[in-house]
Order: sequence, then C-alpha cells, then structure tokens
Amino acid sequence: MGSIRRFEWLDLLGLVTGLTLLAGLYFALVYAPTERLQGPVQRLFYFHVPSAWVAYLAFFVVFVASVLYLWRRSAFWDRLGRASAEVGVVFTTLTIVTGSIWARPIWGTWWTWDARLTTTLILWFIYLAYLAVRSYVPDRNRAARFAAILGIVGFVDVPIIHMSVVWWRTLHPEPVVVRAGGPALEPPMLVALLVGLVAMTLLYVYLLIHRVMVEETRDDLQLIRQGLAE
Amino acid sequence: MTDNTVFLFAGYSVLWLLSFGYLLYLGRAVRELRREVKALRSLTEQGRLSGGPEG
Repeated sequence: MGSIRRFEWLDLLGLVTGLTLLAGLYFALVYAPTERLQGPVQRLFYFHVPSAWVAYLAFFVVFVASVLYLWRRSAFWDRLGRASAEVGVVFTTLTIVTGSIWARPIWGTWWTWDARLTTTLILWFIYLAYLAVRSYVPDRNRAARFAAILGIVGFVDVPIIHMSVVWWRTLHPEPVVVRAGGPALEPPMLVALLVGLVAMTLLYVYLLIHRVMVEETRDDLQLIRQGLAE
Repeated sequence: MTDNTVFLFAGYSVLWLLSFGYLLYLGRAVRELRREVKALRSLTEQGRLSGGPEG
C-alpha cells in the first residue's frame, strides 16, 4: 500500500514537472521577445541559466549531505549525496553544452578558456572525481568518507564560479538577475527565466528522488544477498 | 539581427535528449533492481520453506 501511495505521489510530481517544462518552453520560445543583437539563439538563456543554478543547488545538497554523513555516519546522507552529485553532473553537462552552442554564433567559437567557463569545467571534473571515488574505492565506508570530503571541498568552486565574472575580465556576460540594482532584464524575459528556473528545479527534484530510489534498492539487494550468504 | 535558429534548435535538442535520456536510464535501473530484489526475496522464502540454511 505504501509503495502504491509513493508511486501516485511520484507520478503527480512527474506530471507537474512535465507540464512546467512545457510552460517553460512556451515562455522561452514564444512569450519572451527576441533579443535584438543576439537573435533567436539568445532563447537558450532561459534554460542555460536555470541549468547552472540547479547544478549549484545539487552540489549544495551534496555539501550538506557530506557534512551530515561525516557527522552522523547515516547511510541516508551518503545516498542523498551520491544521488545529488550524479544529477548535478547531468545539469552541469547541460550548462556547458548549451553554453557552448550559444557561444558558437555569438563569440565565433565553441569554447574559450574564459574564467567562468574554466571554473565550470573544473566543477564538472571535481564531481566526476567524486563519482569515480565511489566506483573505484572497494571499501564502501572508506569510499563514502573520501567522497564526503571531496563533496565539501569541491563546493568551494561554486562561489568562485559565481564571482568569476566580477573578479576577472571575462567574455561571459555578467550576472543579469542577482546583481546590485536589481535584475537587468525586460519583464517578459525575467518571467520566462523564472518559469524555466521552476521547471528545472522540479526536474532536479524528480530526478533526485529516482536516483535515491536506485541507491535504496541497491542497498536492499546488498542486505538480501548477505542474508542468502549467511 | 542574425539568423542563428539552427543553434537554438541544436541547443534545445541536446537539452531534452540528455534530460530524458537520463530519466529513462534511471527508470530502467529502478525496474531492473526491483525485479532482482523480488527474485532474491522469493529465493530466500524458498530456502526458509525447504529448511535451507536459515531453517
């Protein structure tokens, strides 16, 4: 009965997420006006920026889960950190790829070693290393401890990425929403961005729940196998 | 204004392919693991009933 209820709740979340993503697409592709200088490709902004924000959120969850795992040594925090790191890597990949596709017509290149791009790539590698530690260290508890330390230290890169466009001279546009003096966007553009942000946050939550379920079921399997072996 | 619609199309295609590809991968992983849990549980039950290692 419990699992049926959980499925109904998850299905509802999936439906709401799907509808919000469709609304986000409508606001990004139809509702928001075309930017005069950049043309249609600027509309990638409405999902590129939310992908980056959600990646930061995912790694913040890894940071919190890592601290709590080292403190409490509970398997739940370990599972949550592992799940959020993987989903965060997916969103960072989306950020890098959509940014690169936007850069080609605007900057004339797919990639440049700009401070914002480079620090984001470093973030991607840090959390790939986090996932690799989980896979290659045979002792489960040691792997969880090492990964938790990496999850705490690695998060330092997030504020560096955010400030990179202020600290260094970069090609990447400066923040247009979180800035002194308020958002520098036309109201319809800001609305489209906010809808995209809600949609991507819901997608993150939906993916995270699924990823945690995978981890839980793997742990169940391990227990059953141990029971069979004894 | 430049017409760079092809890049817009490419960007959104990659976005949805990656997101839904990952979601499908997770859904499949959950289903396969659940099937394995069910099979192992029934093995444990059979072991109990036939007076196996736990009996």
